Amino acid sequence: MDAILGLIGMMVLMALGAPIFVALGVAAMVMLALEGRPLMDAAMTSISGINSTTFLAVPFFVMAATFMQRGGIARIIIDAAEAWVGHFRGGLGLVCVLATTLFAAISGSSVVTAMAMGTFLIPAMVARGYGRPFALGTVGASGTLGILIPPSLSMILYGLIAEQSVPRLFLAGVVPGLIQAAILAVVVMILSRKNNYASGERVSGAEFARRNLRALPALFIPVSVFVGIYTGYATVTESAGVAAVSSVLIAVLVYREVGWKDVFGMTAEAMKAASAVTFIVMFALLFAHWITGSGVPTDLVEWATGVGLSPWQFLLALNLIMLVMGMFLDAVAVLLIVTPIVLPLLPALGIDPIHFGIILIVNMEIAFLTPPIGLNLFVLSSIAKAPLSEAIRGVLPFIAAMVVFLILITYVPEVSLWLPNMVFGG
Amino acid sequence: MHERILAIWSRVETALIGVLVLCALGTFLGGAVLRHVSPRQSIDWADEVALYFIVWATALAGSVLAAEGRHINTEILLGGLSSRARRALGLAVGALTLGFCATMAVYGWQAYEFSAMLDDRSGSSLRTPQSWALFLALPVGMALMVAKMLVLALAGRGITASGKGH
Repeated sequence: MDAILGLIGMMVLMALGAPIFVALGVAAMVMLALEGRPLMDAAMTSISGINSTTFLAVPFFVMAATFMQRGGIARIIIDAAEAWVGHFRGGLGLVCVLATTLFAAISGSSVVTAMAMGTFLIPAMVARGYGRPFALGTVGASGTLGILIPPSLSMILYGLIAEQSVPRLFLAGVVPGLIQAAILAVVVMILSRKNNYASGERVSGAEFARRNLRALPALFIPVSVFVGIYTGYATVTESAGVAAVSSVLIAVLVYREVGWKDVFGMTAEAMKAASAVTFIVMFALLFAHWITGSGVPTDLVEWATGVGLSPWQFLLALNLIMLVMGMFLDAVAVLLIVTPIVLPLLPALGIDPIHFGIILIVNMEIAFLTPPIGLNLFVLSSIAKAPLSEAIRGVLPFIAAMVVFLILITYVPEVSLWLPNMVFGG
Repeated sequence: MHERILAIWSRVETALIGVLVLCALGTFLGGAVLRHVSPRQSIDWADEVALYFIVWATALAGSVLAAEGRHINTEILLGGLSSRARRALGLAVGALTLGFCATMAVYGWQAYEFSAMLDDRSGSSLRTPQSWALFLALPVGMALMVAKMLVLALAGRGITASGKGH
């Protein structure tokens, strides 16, 4: 009963507009005090939680994403994608899906991906006669790929809290990410045909080669990350560090959209963005510390086994709960609240924690799009200076497609687990 | 006057954050390169020191984020409220945040003292005292945030985007 009060208190504080780290921290501290547990221990738990080498990957990947976004790399990837698919009907929509898929393999963040792509693609799509809601919807939905296609900051956070292998999680996101990109491309083609959007012009062979050659340095970054991690030559954190340095060098020396004088300020800016998440992580770990000690997970396991809940029923109920939570909470908050509560239930129900991680990430992707608190909606309406209602109208068909995708990911675990099991063994 | 103090304060903190992150990146990658290129000369403390730099950068960033209204929050109820009710709620949330940060500063300081008393050290050859390298970051970061919030309150501002204008 006390635990339920703690959870409700935390939700109420969030609803009232308290910073998420405060809502998590206050709920955990009050409940720990009521249970008579030492609060100095709570302070130690919150700071010790981020004392992990894997955690270093978060600011390094955010730094890489910041230089990618502002260093002209987004524009170059879009140009390359346009050379491949721009001549089809609704070509710019397909360019958006392809370019975000590539950019997602660099950035690791949904909002950064949507922002980087939206800045260039939304004005271009509107100028070529595409409906603005369609442009907003396509960029918003494609942008969510940022957290599913590795490297993914959300997967690193899940890996830290759930104590799961981050390289395994990264691999588990590859096939679902490509399937989601294909589903979004199909939705774009259907909507383009329905709205009779024009086809673009096919670029010449020389131009095709020029654009792809120009994109090669940018594409070197995800390739170096993957080769480093999966040949065993570098850890996830080392790969993140290499990605950060390469993104600076490529942005300054190759594409020259930023100069050396900008590097310091952009680095500090990236750290601030990473810190906003770190503060939440610190107190989510404290919240998890309280939840685990409070016996809630054990009670849940007893309840689930007592009522004979089957895995599919559990996952259905959990997806519904997470979809509702995603409408009202920040996507990272959903991950950090749900993981410690649900994790102990997974072995009892025979659900693989890596599979569950991918289900959680897909729910977070949908949370980025669902009103009233869909972060990508705010980013897009701000970039396009469009009313929020247009962004919401634009993402609706894509949300429907992503719910179907979520069902696929939930009930066919092999989609997520095939690749990591093949590489690392089952 | 308050705005000028906030601006200078944030500029100093931002500069420190930039330096700390670049130091972290340099130390971490330097250690990794040595490990791969010249294992005999490799150092066992590069990851640990890089992490201290990042922990301290995070602690400093807390108050910069407060000044810039960038601590992440949600606004489920705020949209439907009158401006007066929003203001009252903003004040309440601001007071709660202030109280929470002050509490964490106090308990964080106790954690620092406890670690210092135990002479808790890292496992690397540096044997870094965890009290000042790690645990001190929490009370310092929280105390800076409390101080920044007080100046923000004097300037009539809140610490989240929705709190601006409180």
